[in-house]
Order: sequence, then C-alpha cells, then structure tokens
Amino acid sequence: MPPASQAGRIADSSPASPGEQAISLVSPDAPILESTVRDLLTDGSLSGHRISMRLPLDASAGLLAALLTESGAELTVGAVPATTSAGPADGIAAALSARGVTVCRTRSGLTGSRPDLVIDERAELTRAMAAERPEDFARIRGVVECTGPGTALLRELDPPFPVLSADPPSATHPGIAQAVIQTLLRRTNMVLPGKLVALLGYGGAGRSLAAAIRATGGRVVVLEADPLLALEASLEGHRVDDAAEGLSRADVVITVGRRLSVRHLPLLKPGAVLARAGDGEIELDLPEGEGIMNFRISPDREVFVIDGGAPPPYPAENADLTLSTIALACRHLATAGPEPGVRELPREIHETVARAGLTLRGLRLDSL
Amino acid sequence: MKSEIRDPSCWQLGADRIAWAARWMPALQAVGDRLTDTGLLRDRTVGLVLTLEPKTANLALVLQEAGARVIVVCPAAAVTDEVAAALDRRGVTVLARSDASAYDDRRFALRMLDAGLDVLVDDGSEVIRLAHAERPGSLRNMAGAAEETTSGLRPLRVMESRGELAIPCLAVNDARSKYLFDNVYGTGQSCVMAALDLSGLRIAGKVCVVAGYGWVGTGIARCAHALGARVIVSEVNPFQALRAHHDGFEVRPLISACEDADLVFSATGIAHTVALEHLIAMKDCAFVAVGGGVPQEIALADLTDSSTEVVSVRKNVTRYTLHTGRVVHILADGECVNCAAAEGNPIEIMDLSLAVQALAVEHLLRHGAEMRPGVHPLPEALDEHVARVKLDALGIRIDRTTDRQREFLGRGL
Repeated sequence: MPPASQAGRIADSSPASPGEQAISLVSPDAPILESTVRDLLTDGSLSGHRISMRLPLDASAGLLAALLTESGAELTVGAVPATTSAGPADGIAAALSARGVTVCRTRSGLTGSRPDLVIDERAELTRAMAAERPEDFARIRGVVECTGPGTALLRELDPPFPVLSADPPSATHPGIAQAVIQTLLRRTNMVLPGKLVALLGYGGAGRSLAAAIRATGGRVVVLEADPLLALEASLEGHRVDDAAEGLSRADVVITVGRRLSVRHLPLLKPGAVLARAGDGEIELDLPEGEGIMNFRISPDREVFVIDGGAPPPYPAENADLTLSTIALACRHLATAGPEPGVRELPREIHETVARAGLTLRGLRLDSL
Repeated sequence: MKSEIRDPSCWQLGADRIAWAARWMPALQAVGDRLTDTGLLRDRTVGLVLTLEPKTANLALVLQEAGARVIVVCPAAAVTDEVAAALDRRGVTVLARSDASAYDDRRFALRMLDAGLDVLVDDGSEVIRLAHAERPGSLRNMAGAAEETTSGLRPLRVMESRGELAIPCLAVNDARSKYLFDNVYGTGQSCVMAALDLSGLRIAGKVCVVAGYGWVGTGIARCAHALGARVIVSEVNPFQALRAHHDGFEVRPLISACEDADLVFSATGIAHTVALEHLIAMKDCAFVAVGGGVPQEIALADLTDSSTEVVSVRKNVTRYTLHTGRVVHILADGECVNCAAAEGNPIEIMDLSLAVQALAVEHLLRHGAEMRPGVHPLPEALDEHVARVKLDALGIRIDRTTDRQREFLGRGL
C-alpha cells in the first residue's frame, strides 16, 4: 500500500479510464463471478501460474482477466476485438495493461510468454503454439477451450495435456435466444408473430430459440443433420425439413450451431433475413458491423444479413455464467491435474455455478 | 408549396430507410394502387399530421403517387430530419424540422390549413381543433378528417355533442384492422424489446409484472413469457383477470406482485396506476416502464419527492434512490417505452394502420359531402378490405361461407 497522501494524489485525482469504467459497470451483472468464484480463488490455487487467455475482449472478459490477476496469476491476454458493436476492446486492453496484464495484439494471441495454462477460443492460440512454438507447447499443463468447434480441433491434435471443454452452460441458452430475437427485431423493425423462421441447428440454444419464437407467435422449421435432434424437434411440435424446402419458404433464417454457406444461397427466398446465434456461422463475405447488410444473390434477388453475420451481443448475465465456468475450469486444471486428453468439464463445476445462481435469486433446491 | 425542413442534404439516408419500410408494407401499397386506379386523389390536397419516420413517410408517398398534393406537418420532437429531407426531394411539401419551436410548429400547421385542404389526416386531433378555432374558413371546402388515436377522438366527440364539430371525422382508431394487431402484436412486442434494450436485463427467469390485461397488456405478457419470464398480471376488471388466469398467468394485486418484480409494465392507460406505494414496495433495483400510456401513469412526481437521489444512468434510464435506501429504475421517463426509446411499432403492423388511413382518405373524398358533421366509424367493408388485402399479400387463403352454410345462417329459429 502506498502512503495515503500519495494514493490520494495519484489514484483519486485521475478519473478512472474508460476501460476501467466499462469493467466496473459490468461487475454488478456478474454476481457469481464476483462472489462465489472470487471466494474460491482466494485459496491461492492460481498463484504463480502463467495463464494466456484469448477471448473477445469485451468488458466482461476484462472482468475475468482482472479477477485472475487478483487471484495471483500472471496473465497474458490476446486482445481479440469483441466481434460486435466495435466493443471497448482498446479501452479494456489499456485498463488491463495498467493492472499489470500483458496485452498482445496478434490474431492468434501468441506471445513470448510461456503459459502453463491456456484459455482458448476455437483453439487458435493452442494450435498456433503447436505449430510455431513446440517448446512452449510442450510446457502447457492444461487448456480450457470455450467452443465446441475448438474442442473438436484440439481432439485431432491429440494433446499431451488435459483439455477441458468449457462450452457455455445450458443455462445460457434462454439468454442467447433473447439476444438473437432482440437484435433481429431492433435492426429490422419487423414483427415476429406470423413469421416462418428456419433454424439451422436444434442443439440446446436452438431448442430455446425455437420455443421462444413459437411462444411469441412465429412458426419454426428446423433444419438438422443429426437424426436424434431432428426427431426431438418434431416431437416438440416443430416442422422438420431439409434445406431445399425449409430455406425456400423461410422469412427469417437463423444459424444456431450449424453453418450457412454460399452453397445455400440459391435456396433462399428473396428478401429473407439472415441472422446468427452463438456457434452458428454465416459464411458470406460481408464486413461485420451494426445494421442490415444487403447481400445480392443474383441480379434480381437479394437477402438481408443482420450485422454482417456477427453474433448478437449477449446479456451481461450470460457472461457471468460462461466466465464463472471458465474461471473454475482453470482452477480445476491447476489443482486437480486431470489426465491428458480432451475431457468434459466435471459436473461439480457446473453445479457450483448453478447453485450460486440459485442462491443469488433466493431459490431453493429440493432434497426430498 | 415550398418545404421547411432542417437539412435537405441528408435525404439519401432517409430514402434508404423509407425503402426498407416499404418492403414490408404490402397492404398500404395495394390500397395505394387502388387509389391510383380510381383517380379520386388527382389534384386533391391532403394534409397529413404524422410522427415523421420511415413507416409513416410511405403513407405520404402512396397518396402522392395516387395524384394528390401532399403536405406533411409534424411536431419537432417527433421529426426524423433525414425522412423529412427524402420526402421533400420526392416532391412532398414537408413543414417539419426537429429544431422547430412550438411557435414554428403552430405556424406550420396554419400554413398547411391555409393551403386549402380537401382532407386532413390527424394524429391527436390538435390540427382539427386548431382549424376550428383559428381557420374556420378552411373547413368550408374540406371533405372531412381522419383521426387515428383514442386520445384524439375523445375531444372530437365532446365537440360533436356540443354541436361544435363542422366536418365529418372518421374514427380510424376504432377499426379492427388497427387495434386487434397494432395493440397486441405491435405495442406488446415492441414495448418488451425496448425495455430489454434499455435495461440490459436477461428476462429469462425474471419476474415480469403486467398491470392491465387489455390488448396491450395481453401482448406484453405473451412476449415476456415467450422469452422465459415468469409473468404476474394485476387487474381491476374481473373478466380480464379470469382471462389472464386461463392464459396461464399468475394474477395478484399489484402491490403484492411488486415485491417480486424485476420488471414492471403499466399497460392500463390510466394515470396513477403505479403509485408511490407500489414503487416503495418494489423489489430493489426493479425496472418500471409504460406501454401505451398517459402522463403520470407512473407517479413520477411523488417518486421524485420521495427520493434522496435521482440519477440518469444512461439515456432513457433513470435511477431513483428511495428514502428506504432501495433503488427503482424508470424507463423512458414513464412515457410509452417503445415510442420514446425505440422505433415504435413494427413495420408490418403499421402497414395495417396506415392502409386504414389511406382508405379513410378515399372514403372522405367519395362520401364526405353527404356525411353529416360528427365522428363516424370506418365502414365495416373498408376495414375488412384491409384485412383481406393483408392476407392476400401474405399468400394466405381462407374459406368462403358455402350456400348451405348461408342457408343455415339465414334460417333463424
């Protein structure tokens, strides 16, 4: 602690930086991270660990970075720009630098630091290390991978260290559904009741989204390649069809876990609106940015793409669940030392996060 | 007549936004084609009082394409300057700028009346009343006026009962093509979305309280529930309360519901719905918004008096710290949250309402001379025409009553 007079002169007279302000603004929306997770990390389990983190650097990710640093980790952050709303990435990066975090700006997040723990998205950093820095790669003690596709890529890599697959918890699905609908309606000013919406994917988020669209008054047609999911969708009252049929009728097409690519374009109804959720992808060559982008299929046919195919900004409370899970996955790697190989996150981590969420809402579990 | 607008140079942005809205307005376009074919509007002058934005701009264009001289006025607060510029460029006379004073707004309305209108389409009936007070001469050759709001019709009916109304006025607001869709689907959806945009709440798992289960309240409850909220309805009317109960919502007095509320909507259209006692009982940090709305639907004056601190968190979100130490957030200063803080009703819903307006213009030009001064309902056939045109545009076919059914219906006892 510096002497009080000095602190008063230096800290209090300068206003908090924009990044620092953005981080403190999302803090109340992250009660699980700020209470339960922070408490658990006071056990010193991350002390002395060198962590490299590569996540879209929005204010919530900034909050996680700050917490990991405060918990004793030596942190390097790849300042991947947040994908939508231009994000306060620069400001967050500056704020983290001021807190002693090393911030680098390469696309892969690769730096000279030699992490023993990696928090990765789409396996970008881990794969870059495997390819370009085999010695550093060999020192890794564990990776937390935050996406499904990234986990699949790491499995191919057959890593000599444990990889925990920290998919967003299922409790984030309703928030994802809300964000997709909210962004779609804000950008287009259209009405959802009466619309036929094609969903590319009926995983957890797809199911939440389908239920929300139907309850609002829209109709859903599910396009699935997985027979189990397609059958579930059908028994839950949704139409199930192939792309040729579904895309030609849909007013709105939303990718949720599956991918819409250029080869689908001829199938689309002219004037259709395309949007993306979560792991879904829209592979059209469009600049990302807020608003409705026209995409011309042929001289007389065009479709409209929301935010250039970027995912919508999710509610801050979703980030609380996701980032809490990531932080606890990190702690698990540091303390439990699981066997090498790609593995599911231990159920107790999900339970810890869910219990904290219930307690904060004053909800009771039954033990009968 | 020359327009008075703020910035003619921003027309392109306005034209793009108007074109986007036009894509989703098939009923208005179809009614416009019908008006063009009749030739009824050729060389007629139509005055429009509008919230000047991309959707309403399409009404002006449709009337103009049908041959009318169109003059648009709009109070400064509701003007989108780029839309004004785009309309002006298309040859519509626009007397509206976002920086106009109250004096300018009045001057614009009088200029419009002095141009000699055949039909006046009003929003809130202020210009109809201004004409009666200041320009009675302008009413002499006017076929009539159309009014699209509940609150605008109220004073016109008072004038009618006193024998003061000099022209026929069509109650566009009371058409089924308007209130069955505008209120439930339009206002319901857009109020919930605006409240989520402003608050940043994830509504799944939250408790959403809806005061009033009329058309708007029904739409709000449905939309909030669809996104995962637990909805509690409060009512004074026993039938509405029973409807809410059978729609699957918990029904409780507002004061008790407030204790659990994360988000409260007032959808009664009645002042003093959310009173100070409710605001004091509210769960800490709850958000409160108005859907539809009249002044003081939330008791803001009382709330301000009872607060130790009032802070604007960001645009349209105000945080009140009560003397109890609890915090309550008011959205859009208690005004209709979807109009004040978002783009208003969805385009396809306004398509119906504006198609009704366009048909009202036609009806007045055709029959205004033979209608007595007073407030008239829109003829059933025109209302139904709008609904059928919309179904056509959507490619939805419906059945016809068969001869045998007609025979059954005609049989009586």
